[in-house]
Amino acid sequence: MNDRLFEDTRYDPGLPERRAVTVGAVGSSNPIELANLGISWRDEGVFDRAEQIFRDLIERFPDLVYGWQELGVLCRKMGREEDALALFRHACMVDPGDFLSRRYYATQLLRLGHGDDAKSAIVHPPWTDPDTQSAAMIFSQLIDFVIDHPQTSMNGLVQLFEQDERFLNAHSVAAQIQTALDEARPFSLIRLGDGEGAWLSVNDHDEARFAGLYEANRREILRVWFGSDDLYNDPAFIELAGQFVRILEHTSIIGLPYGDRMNNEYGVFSIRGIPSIANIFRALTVETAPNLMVHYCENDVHLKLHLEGHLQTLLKGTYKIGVISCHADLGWRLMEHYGARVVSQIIVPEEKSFQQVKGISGMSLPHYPIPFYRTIERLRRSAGEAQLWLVAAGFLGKFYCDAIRGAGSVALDIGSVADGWCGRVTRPTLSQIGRYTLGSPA
Amino acid sequence: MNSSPDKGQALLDALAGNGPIMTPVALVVAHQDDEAIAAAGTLVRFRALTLIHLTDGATSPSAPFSQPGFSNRDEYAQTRARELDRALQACLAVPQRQICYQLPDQTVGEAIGTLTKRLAADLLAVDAVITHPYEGGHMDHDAAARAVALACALLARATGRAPARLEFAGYHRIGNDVRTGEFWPDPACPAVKITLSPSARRRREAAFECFTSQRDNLRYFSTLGESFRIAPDYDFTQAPPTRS
Repeated sequence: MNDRLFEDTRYDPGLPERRAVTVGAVGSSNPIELANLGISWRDEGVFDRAEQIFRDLIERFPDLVYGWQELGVLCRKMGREEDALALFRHACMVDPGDFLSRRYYATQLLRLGHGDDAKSAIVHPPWTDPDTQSAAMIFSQLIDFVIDHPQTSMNGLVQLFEQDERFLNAHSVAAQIQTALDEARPFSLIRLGDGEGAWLSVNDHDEARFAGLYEANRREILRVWFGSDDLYNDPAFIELAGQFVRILEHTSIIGLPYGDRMNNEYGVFSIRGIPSIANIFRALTVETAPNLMVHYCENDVHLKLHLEGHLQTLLKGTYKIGVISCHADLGWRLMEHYGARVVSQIIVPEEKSFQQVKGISGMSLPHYPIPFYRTIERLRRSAGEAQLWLVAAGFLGKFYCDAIRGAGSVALDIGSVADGWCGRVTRPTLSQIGRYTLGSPA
Repeated sequence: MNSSPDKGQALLDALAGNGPIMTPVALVVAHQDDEAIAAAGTLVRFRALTLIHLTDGATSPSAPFSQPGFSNRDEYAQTRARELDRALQACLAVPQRQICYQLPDQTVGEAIGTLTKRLAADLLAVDAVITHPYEGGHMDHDAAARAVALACALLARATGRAPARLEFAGYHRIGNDVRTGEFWPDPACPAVKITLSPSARRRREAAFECFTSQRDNLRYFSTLGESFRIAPDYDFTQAPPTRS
């Protein structure tokens, strides 16, 4: 699979370097330099200068797609939807074999309510390269998905959860945690993001209808988590992932993506983001909404629990604390900084995509299967040693939270807060790392 | 003091048996080859092993380097690391975690302050730790015993619990003789001597053979058995035992 076919336009880590290169590119005879300069202005919001550069690009290089594509993106950004459609259509005519032009064109058709034309635009060109054929199939399934589940109806679904009286703010979440600890009641807080959403199954019909789309997303997520997608064909892992939705039925509080996240994903027509976020709400509507014991909150509640001081209060208490993360020094930092009574620490391998940022856990095996099953076994045997467990272990960490709850203790899925406590910036939300970092043991 | 004698005894009992050892255990050793001396025949049975080497096995960059066959300390350290990798494979050991603190050889005692805290952080994740005895064999071995004891004491004070502290038989001197594979006697801490099965013996022999740079030392160690005991509560303000 050629991942470049699915490049997400939201993130552009090369932009600063590109800006440096393109300074003074006006008048350049290099179309790429000109396009990049225009993109820089567009991203800065200086639309008139960007338009001027893109029109210059089209005039000088009318047989290249770049000017048509980028001016189309600019028009769309400015709300000139019909202009954008015409420009993308022209880009397709300039180079009928350019998949990105087709993708822009199809997306624009869909935005304007022409779903069938959108599908036709992406499916029918004579794609000969297998990677592009596959990409076209996946994109056409995304179009089907958006036709079946338009942004407005998904927003309505999100609001159903956010307006439910069981939807809690961080303060109320903290109060529930405190109560569970005081009453020695089993409890788990599990947060869901697009990775988890990619693995949530709504029903068999849905799985069959969007099989290619879901497979592409699940493989991509596996590469993020484990460095390869080999597990996609592992029956034991598939079965485990299939049980994930069952875990949510027993979870005390489920952290959900906020509504703006859904809008962002639809706005950029994200292949991974749209179905993964939408399916969280679709699956939960069926699986957990009827269970009045389940509560909900935003999935960045872990950050708020830290920033509003709730985690500190819990850690400074007399509870026996257990921690699960890839940071060998996390337990010690909590003891030193908060005087936490850390009685158990389990170290798990880091997500492969974050290995450079997080450092080395000293564990060479991938998190699944051996460390995972050993950790589950250990928790079943001795999770009761700690009253409160802080879990930062990605998708598999949700299963740890469930095992801890099953053993009668309290489990909090604290995610990237653990990275922050250890001074590692693994997310944009941790960019102000000083608000998180605790002292180092040595 | 050794705050978890029950857990320690449970691990000794498990070591005396034949089955897998599921308890999370750390083996803290000073040098690459000490883990083989400790338990090359038995390591395969540890299913949740954290293997910690305190040094990289080569003397400090500021110290004169004179290791025959090697041009500098880094080359020597890299050789020892490669030998360790091969030895772990040879004895079928698969540590769950493997860490090297990268101290220079013969400097463990100098780093005892920071070392104690770092060890405490790593030992939070285990139920038992096995390390060198305090026996006057090698200065780093004695410092390792002390650092582990201090780290466990620190954990006991901070959390109310600490891993059980065990030790493996290394070597010590009696006069001009070097005594290997035996502890200084301590009636309060009887040793469990494991007679290795033929296959375990082969694993130990295979691991020893991988340490070509340490061949002159390892030839003094038997491959017939491995000995462990609950670590005594040493008085580290006193010199290690000596016998003339």
